[in-house]
Amino acid sequence: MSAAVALPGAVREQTARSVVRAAAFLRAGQLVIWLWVPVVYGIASLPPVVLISYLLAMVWTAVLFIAALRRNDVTTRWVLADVAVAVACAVIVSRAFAAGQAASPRNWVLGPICGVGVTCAFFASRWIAAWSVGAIAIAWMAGTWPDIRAAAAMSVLSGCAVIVVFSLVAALAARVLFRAATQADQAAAAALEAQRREAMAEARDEERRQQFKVLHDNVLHTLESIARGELGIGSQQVRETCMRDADYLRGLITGGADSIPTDLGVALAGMGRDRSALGLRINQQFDALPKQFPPHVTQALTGAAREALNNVVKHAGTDEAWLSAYGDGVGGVIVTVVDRGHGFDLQAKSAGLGLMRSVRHRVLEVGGKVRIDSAPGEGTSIQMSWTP
Amino acid sequence: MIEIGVIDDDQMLLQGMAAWIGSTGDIRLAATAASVEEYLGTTHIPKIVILDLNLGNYTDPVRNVTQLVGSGLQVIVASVIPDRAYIAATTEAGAAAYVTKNNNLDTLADVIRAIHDGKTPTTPEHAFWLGRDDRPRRPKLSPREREILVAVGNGTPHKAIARQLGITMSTVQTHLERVRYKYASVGRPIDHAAHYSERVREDNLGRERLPEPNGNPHPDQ
Repeated sequence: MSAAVALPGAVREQTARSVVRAAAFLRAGQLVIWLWVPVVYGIASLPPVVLISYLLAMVWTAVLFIAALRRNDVTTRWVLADVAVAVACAVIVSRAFAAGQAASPRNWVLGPICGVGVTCAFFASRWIAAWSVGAIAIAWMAGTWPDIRAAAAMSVLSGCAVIVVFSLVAALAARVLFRAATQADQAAAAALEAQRREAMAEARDEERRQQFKVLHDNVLHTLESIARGELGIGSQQVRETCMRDADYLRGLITGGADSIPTDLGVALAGMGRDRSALGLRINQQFDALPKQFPPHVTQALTGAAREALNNVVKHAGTDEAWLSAYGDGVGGVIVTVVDRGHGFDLQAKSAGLGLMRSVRHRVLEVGGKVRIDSAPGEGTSIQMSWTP
Repeated sequence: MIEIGVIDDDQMLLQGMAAWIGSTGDIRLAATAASVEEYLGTTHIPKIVILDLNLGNYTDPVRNVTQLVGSGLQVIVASVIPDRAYIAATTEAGAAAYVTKNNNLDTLADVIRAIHDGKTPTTPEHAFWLGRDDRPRRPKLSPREREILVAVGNGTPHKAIARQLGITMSTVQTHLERVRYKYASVGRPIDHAAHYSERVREDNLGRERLPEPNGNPHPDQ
């Protein structure tokens, strides 16, 4: 598997970085471009408030974008602070000019406050951006209001329009960009998920092949030995071996919901086969076992069932037991081991101590439940259940 | 002496069966056949018959049971591999019992004796697969009936079930009989061929069957 799939989220992150950079360049440009004004008109011709605020705005912008570039984002808090600075500048700086000059190129605020609108459009949520841009436009109007009467009305209004249009275009562009990035990321995530699933399926198939190999080795060995005449079919031992193999196969075939062997079914059937070798006749019944089952739970339940069957061999005084397992339809299973042997008194202190320890422990450890029921002369039934 | 018959297409099984059954002392294998037609055509027809669930001649298990029950016989359905849908459907068709072929003789003999005594025994494997019945149109069982069915299906002895539920053993038996009665009388009689294909559709057994041996498609398809 060599297909290189981008990490989910990578494209969005990349897009965010580009957008932060673009906003930073735009703002720097909008600030720097004003420098021709003091050169052409002379510093002395400008009110000191204009110059001082310009320098402060430069510092603020630098701080803002260094932080933004570092975290690849302009958070809402930073956006609002930026808007507050813009509103303040728009009013204070514009009012510092003489009538007729505020809405002229001598005023540095128009470019940068457009930039603030763009930053809002890029990074703030829709409503915060709308209100912020509105506030900036109103601040611009408020600051340059004296010019409306000073025959520069067109400049005032066009400045206002520029702020709004710039921000709108930026908002649309950002939306398109981020949507494309999100889609690319979703596609990447889907591809990654598909790869993972494929790998899992491969691993499962491999495991199943292994299990079938074991299965066939057992059963084939028995059949071939009989075919070659190495084993007389009349002997008790061979009959028992054949019966074990048959039970094992039956367990495999009936375990899954659609007659496809499951890991749990194979594990239980194999374990049952081994227990049968101890002389126990095990009636196995499996149905609708979940296809995907955590391996450690499979191991725990199989181990617990083995201990329960061992207990039958040791203490129940019977040569027959029932091993049933079925899925609950929602990913869990119920496994029962039942015998019709001696049974024991659940109230007696020492009774079933071994059962508690060996069976209960294994099941509880993986978050399952165990119910043990027994009475003298009525056999013992142990029910183990596990739900995801 | 209880006389029984066996319908199975497995010659090896039929041969072994006679000696096997004979060793009980009170049960005798009196007739064998490879198909239902052959069995019904014999001169001496034992009233209790063990029927292979999946005969090699591709006949439908449900129809086989229906035919035998219709002839007044008591049918014990036997199979190598349990098939949930068919076990439920043959029970509805009136089969007296279901056993797996790997059962030991004692179990089978007990089932035969119970049927001979006019009972409808429910073996653990029968209870297990009826308890796993998930067909949409299965009979409605009460929670208690289901509980008992599942417990019997797990192999729990009736005595233990009675103690756990605080009821008598005969009540356990009554519940089981009621389950069997519900299955036998789902109100879905099969008395002619049209009914049969109707039931198959209802059950949606989802079984693609092979064509008949002579190459014709199966009559129900």
